[in-house]
Amino acid sequence: MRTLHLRRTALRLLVLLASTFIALTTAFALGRLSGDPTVNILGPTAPPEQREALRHELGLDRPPLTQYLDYFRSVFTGDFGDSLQFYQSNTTLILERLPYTLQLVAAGMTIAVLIGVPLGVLAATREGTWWDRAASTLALLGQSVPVFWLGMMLVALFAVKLGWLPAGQSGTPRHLILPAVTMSLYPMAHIARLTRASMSEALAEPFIDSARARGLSTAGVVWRHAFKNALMPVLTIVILQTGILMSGAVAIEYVYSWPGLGQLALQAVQFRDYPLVQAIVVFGALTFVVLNLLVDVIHSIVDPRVR
Amino acid sequence: MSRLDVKPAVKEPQAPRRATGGGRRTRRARTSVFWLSVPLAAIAALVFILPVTGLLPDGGQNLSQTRLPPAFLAGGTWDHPLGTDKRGQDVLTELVTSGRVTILIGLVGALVAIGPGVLIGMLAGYLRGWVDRVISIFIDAQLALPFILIALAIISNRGSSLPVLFSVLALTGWAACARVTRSATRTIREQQFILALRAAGASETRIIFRHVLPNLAGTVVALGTLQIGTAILIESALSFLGLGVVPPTTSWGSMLASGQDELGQAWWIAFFPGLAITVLVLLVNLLGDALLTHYDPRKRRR
Amino acid sequence: MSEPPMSELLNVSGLSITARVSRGELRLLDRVDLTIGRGEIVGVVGESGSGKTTLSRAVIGLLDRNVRVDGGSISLSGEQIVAPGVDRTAQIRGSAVGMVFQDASRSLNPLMKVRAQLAEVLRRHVPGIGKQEIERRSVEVLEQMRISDAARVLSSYPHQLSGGLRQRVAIGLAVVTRPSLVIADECTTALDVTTQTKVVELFRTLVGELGIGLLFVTHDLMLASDLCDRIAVMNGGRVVETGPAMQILDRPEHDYTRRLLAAIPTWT
Repeated sequence: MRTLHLRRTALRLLVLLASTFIALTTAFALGRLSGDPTVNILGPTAPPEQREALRHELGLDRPPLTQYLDYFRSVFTGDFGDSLQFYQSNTTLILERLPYTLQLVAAGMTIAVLIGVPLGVLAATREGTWWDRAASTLALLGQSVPVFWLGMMLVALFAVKLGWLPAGQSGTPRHLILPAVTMSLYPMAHIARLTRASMSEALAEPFIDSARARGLSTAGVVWRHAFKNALMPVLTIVILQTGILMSGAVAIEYVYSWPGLGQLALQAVQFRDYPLVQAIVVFGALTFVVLNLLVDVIHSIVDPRVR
Repeated sequence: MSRLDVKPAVKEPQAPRRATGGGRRTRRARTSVFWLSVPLAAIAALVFILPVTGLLPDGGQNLSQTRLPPAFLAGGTWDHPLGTDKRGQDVLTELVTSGRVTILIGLVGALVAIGPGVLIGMLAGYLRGWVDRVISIFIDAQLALPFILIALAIISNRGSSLPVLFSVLALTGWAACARVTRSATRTIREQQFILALRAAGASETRIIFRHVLPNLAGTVVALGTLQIGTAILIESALSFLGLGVVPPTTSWGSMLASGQDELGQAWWIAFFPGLAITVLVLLVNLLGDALLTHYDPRKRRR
Repeated sequence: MSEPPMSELLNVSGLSITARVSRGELRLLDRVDLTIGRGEIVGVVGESGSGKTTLSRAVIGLLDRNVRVDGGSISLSGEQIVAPGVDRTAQIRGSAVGMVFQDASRSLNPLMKVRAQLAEVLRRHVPGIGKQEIERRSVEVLEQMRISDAARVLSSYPHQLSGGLRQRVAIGLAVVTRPSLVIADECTTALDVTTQTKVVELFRTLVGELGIGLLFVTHDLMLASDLCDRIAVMNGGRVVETGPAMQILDRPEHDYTRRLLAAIPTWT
């Protein structure tokens, strides 16, 4: 039994490694192979010598295989060169801004879970009633709204018109409120829908009937039996969504002038700071790998069948 | 009839006719599909037809009428029902013009994602085995990658342009389509008529394209619809950040960008395009959901 | 509680149940009469859709939301628990009445150990019960189920047990609260013949040892005649014939019963 377990863990690790490899290679391919970045950086009218110099500096004139290996080497050593714009080590820049984005993502995700999960459970236990349909439509609305527009409208209302909350920047916890709420909307809707579907499925399982036949209270049945079983897919999505939140972070940090990674990435692209963008992309890819690993670990803890 | 009467050629078994039954859920889905298509078609029609009718206010700049509020607020006029922006351009006209861009990009963006997505998903779901395993790893790898990373990677290299935009949409969208198609294909594959076809010796290619694909048509349409919503949201986000459509082309997303500066003085410039996006994507999502319920291949077993 | 008549445990009298569906209303049960006495095994036999499952669910109060009782009554030990507008099943569910379902593998929560599931039921129905007592009764009920390795089974998750063991655990869960009536709803249908025989034997022993009444729902007339004292044959929501098991087999009166019997393949 132990060897089977070991084999399965090894297999999962292998798949994870393969995914990492693919993600990084994709980032590499998209970044380097889709064209000559010097055209974009210097403009189409730059003299060829200048372009050559830049290509040399960026290491783009080396054979592709060497570039590829260098790329992976920098992933392992954590050294991604220096930013063209800030004249600082890219890694330092990223690590500086990272806590801000983490703050935002953590706050947003917490709100999303605290509201989304109970909503989903409620909708599932009242399946088919208008409660359920209203909640589902609301959730769908949450996934249809452009998040940054909502952010802007919230700023217009709460900051400009009413003056209750600050319009941007970071600093006090009050500054975190609007951005976190804006950030939480999309995952909240997604989590609510998923929780509802998952709970609904769990409630339809035969052991629920059996539990009710044993006289267990509705609340007991819902929470201890259905919920625990419905939790797994929801947990998976919560963790994976945290990675997706990075996409939202760019626009939201822009709207709220929040000094995080998203804003950094945007600045980098706008100033054509090629090395910095590449560094951020790799960082993002690695983050998702870590998250995937987390999902696998939690999966094996929660579900005894997987062990 | 004696069992020795062997038919000269093996005829392909007929695929069963689509079950038109289904319960209350599918019936409700069908009415939703109808009622949703109407406003969607209306929006599309308006956006493409209105400009030629001459009903819209002038689209040009008008420096004497900058930052007018919408007609129903104080200071507004019905000459400019939704107000004007900081250069005096009418918001409604701009909304309609940009709407064409947004909708077109949404449609094409969905197509470039479904094309490869459905094909890959179908292959994975039908061929199974190691092909499926490998493809699934790719699908999972891409699904967790935020679209912004892909966008950043490409744009930092090539700058923003329409082809880049479509590349981003394709690369972001194919995986979700592939995953749904894959599971739909697996369900279809297990159905009796496919097994019969394989037993009769029909070639795999023929089965995939002449029998599996038509049965996927409904799911593909539903997927495509949902993908339109995703494409619109992604394009809007990118255009808002200045990474999407390139001026002078405008989309609802880029309108939001210009609206952001005016948030304090002329909030309506940003309000209406965002509202338009929300309404359109909501309708599209509702439609896509209804279609998915309607065309669910699992329904046939029930 | 006043002393009920010695033998009568369950009394279903003129029970009519209707379901509200999209097309209108559907009569699920039509004036059904049934009695079960203490220590008696009564079989309810019928095909799918005959109403036998509706009947068993009505007794324990697990009908769907769109289903209602519009006639007759159900009484347990002389007390009325079901009638139009009356539903006291919550008081007897899991305590005075236990139910065993068709697929035991799916009756047990896959994420909880057996011990935890038994403990949960005991804590619910025996107020103030202590850990030691819970453990003692859990072991006791498993031994009643003829499970030899009670300690191991208690510490296991459902998927770690064989199908037959799971079925016994499911039955154990139903009887651990010492109910007076047990309903077995098609619980041998998903089993192979050997296991089926063992489960039937187990039921017979339980009824003998614990003196419970057993409502045995099945579509298998032969199986019912083997186990049950009396049989009620159902078709289309009605009880078409009742009587001692042997009488039903030898001298069926109703046409439907005869057809049921005729459909059974004979071996010799």
